[in-house]
Amino acid sequence: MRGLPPLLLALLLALLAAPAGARLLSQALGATAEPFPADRLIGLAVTHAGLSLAGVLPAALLGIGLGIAVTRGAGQGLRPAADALAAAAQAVPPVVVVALAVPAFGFGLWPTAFALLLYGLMPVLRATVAGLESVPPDARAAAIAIGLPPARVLAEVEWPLAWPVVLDGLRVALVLGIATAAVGALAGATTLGTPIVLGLQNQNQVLVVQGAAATAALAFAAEGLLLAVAGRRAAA
Amino acid sequence: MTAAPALAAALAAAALLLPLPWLAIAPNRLLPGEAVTAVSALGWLVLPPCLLFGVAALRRVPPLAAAAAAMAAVLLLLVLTGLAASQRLQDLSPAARAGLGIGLWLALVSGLLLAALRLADATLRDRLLLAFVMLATLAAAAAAGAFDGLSLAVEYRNRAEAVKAALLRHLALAASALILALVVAAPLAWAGFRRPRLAGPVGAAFAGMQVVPGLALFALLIPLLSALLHALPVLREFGLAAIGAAPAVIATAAYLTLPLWRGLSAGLAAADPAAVAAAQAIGMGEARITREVRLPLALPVFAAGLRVALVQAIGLVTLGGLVGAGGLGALVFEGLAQFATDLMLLGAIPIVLLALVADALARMAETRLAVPA
Amino acid sequence: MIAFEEVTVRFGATSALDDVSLQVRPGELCALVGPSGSGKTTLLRLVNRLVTPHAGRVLVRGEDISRADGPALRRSIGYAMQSVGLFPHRTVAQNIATVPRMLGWDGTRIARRVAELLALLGLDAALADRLPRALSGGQAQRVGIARALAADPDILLMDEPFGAVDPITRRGLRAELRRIHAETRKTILLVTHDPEEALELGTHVVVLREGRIVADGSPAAIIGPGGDGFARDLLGGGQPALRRLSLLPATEALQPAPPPPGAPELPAAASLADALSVMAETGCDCLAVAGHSGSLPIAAVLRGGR
Repeated sequence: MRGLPPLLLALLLALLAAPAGARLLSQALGATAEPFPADRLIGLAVTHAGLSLAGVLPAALLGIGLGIAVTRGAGQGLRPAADALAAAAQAVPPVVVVALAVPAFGFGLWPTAFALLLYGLMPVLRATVAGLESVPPDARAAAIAIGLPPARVLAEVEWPLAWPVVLDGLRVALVLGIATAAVGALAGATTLGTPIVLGLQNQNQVLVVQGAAATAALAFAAEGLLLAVAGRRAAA
Repeated sequence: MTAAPALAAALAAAALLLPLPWLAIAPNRLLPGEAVTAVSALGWLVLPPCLLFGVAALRRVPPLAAAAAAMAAVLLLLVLTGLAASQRLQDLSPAARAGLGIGLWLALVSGLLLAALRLADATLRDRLLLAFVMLATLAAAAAAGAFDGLSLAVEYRNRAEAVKAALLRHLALAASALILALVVAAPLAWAGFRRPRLAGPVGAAFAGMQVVPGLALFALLIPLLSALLHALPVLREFGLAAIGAAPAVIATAAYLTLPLWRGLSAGLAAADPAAVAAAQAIGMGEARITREVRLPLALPVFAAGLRVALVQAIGLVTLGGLVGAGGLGALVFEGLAQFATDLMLLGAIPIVLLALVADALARMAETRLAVPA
Repeated sequence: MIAFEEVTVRFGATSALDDVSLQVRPGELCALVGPSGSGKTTLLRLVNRLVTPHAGRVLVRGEDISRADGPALRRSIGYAMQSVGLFPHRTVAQNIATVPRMLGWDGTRIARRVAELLALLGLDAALADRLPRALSGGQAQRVGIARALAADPDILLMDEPFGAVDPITRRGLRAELRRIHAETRKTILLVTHDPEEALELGTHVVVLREGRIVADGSPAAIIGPGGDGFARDLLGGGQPALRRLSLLPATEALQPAPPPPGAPELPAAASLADALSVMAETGCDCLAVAGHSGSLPIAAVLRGGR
């Protein structure tokens, strides 16, 4: 099971983020600051996960829709624009997008939401296009020739064959979304990035360790869960 | 009119004609401004750029002319906006600023996208020529003071030295990270090539690094490095510090190992086994085979991995600004901390441009390396 | 059953079919043969409207199909092609059941039909739950044909269905197709570039060249004397008369006189070419035919060939 190592890593990092673990580590590091209480950390983790999901899921649906559209007859003209945007998004990391979005949206949740939309959309769009393009042309031609209407060719032949690739894109999008939400703390969103930023500003290493470990734990949990879903489908 | 250019042109025109904030007139550099729409800032002068965008989207217009029209529209918008801003600021205090609104950004981005879409099939020479003409015109307009009213230009004038220094620092950090990642990835790629059993775990470890959120890794390196220095104080004498360049370069390098390792591994595997067998059959030694057969075939694949890593390095080093490494990221975070959006942009825009330029240059180099089919 | 009336099809500036008219009667196995680029596949794809004509009409079961719903028309016509195009994510049984499921058949009827088709095509019932990647080339072709036949269409279109398998498997599949055609009496349109296949399988052979029909009729008539030169060259392999003899049953040339004593005996299903071969081997110029009282002298054999 491919999902197991990331999930174990997530558990380990979560233990490190917990106040007891952080205190142990801070003693080893010679730091004296009080750790962040567990309930606040859990609250931030829930907000963080919720924000990432709320940003990535609609973006992913949009990406799937666009991916299907640009591989059909009418939408094919949009393909170059989609490719150009996807390539540009790959060249620019989330932190820069968040920074660029601040002048347009102001401080708070919106720059992060915008970046989440972008980083949710692009991997899923790319994966959807790649997945649909990997469908064997013979299978598609046969489906048309034996009388499947276009919607059923998509639903019964193209989509099931593209889905594993799309799922891969969803995993990348969610992991990127969690990283983006963390960076969003710099622009005023309240997430697990907040203790990191606070810790860096106040030179409180315990806070830094807790925030970083918790953020990484969340990312590995997302990776592990989606890998497990993909693994189960492959085995089925 | 094909869909993509038409959409880009429509977006650009919409940004001009809809009541979106085009300029923000603020009493000073930190306070939010009062929004002014394009129509009220530029008056009937919004029409010529709109017309140019429309022309650029027409399929009947030759691509090169269309791209030139889109670029001309972008330049025209910048100059007109700059002049309008100066005019608006005339009667206000010297501290007053004219910030750029979301409408202007939308128009600029969609206008440039339109140009890029029409240039999709153009030769490299034509593209470079157009880019050069555009930049030269922009520089000339800037020198003539066309943008003096825009707050971004004011901010740049006040910070020119700091921005230049940050740019060089940024490049130095990115290059160091690239070299460090190469030092790690190259031997491991070679080892994985000689012993394929190693390739799986090494690849999984590098891929696992990608999952760690950037902010977490950069931040986590500070306590980790300080613990290391605590345990081995002798390292300080080599210039290692828990804050500054070290965590930034190490964290960036950690993310670069995967694209580099992938490029190197794929490159080594690119040599046709038949060609290698033939080289062995005519009596070449292993070193010679690597030098004369494997490397030439692997080079284009290496180059692709190197390009991805280079572009990512430029973006990732930004977070170094958080851990005291400096670079353009430091400007971004200083701007974020002060709520000074112009300062933020002064850091962020060069990062995007650097990444795009590096990508274009590396692609050019790659096409030269490619084995002629 | 199928009629093409003055059909023209153009792809861009080149015309794939030029003013083609053709009638296919119910129960025929009509082989469309010709070099590549002759328009035979285009002609086939007109029938289920995968291609629409620029001029002329195509009638299926007496109705002009230009007004029919494309997918519904295709579901009523079986289609098998060289690349098979089995759905890789579905089992053999699910692949075969595609059209019946779309037509709303119930589960037991579908299961019965799948079992029936596996048997008809000589496939092991255990293959039903396999995925296509576990099949050999010949098995995949058979499953493709089973899928085409699933909803029991009265018309079957086959585009080089045996093109991608090895010669021995192909021979087996051809025999199978002839048997299926004899058992089901479906109207079959078969595209092939293999002249032997066309002659062996077709009850009606149509020869195409550069988008036009150059010959249309029974196999023996097409390669007989007076047939189109191009068609005779293509189908006759340089020896059209010998090919033709192999298409004619020996019993047709039987004479009432009894065979001479000791004459070699031909099996009842033998062709005139078989008769000639036995004569060449034994040196006898008059043969007996099993189960028949007459005789087969060499002169009658040669007359049959003209």
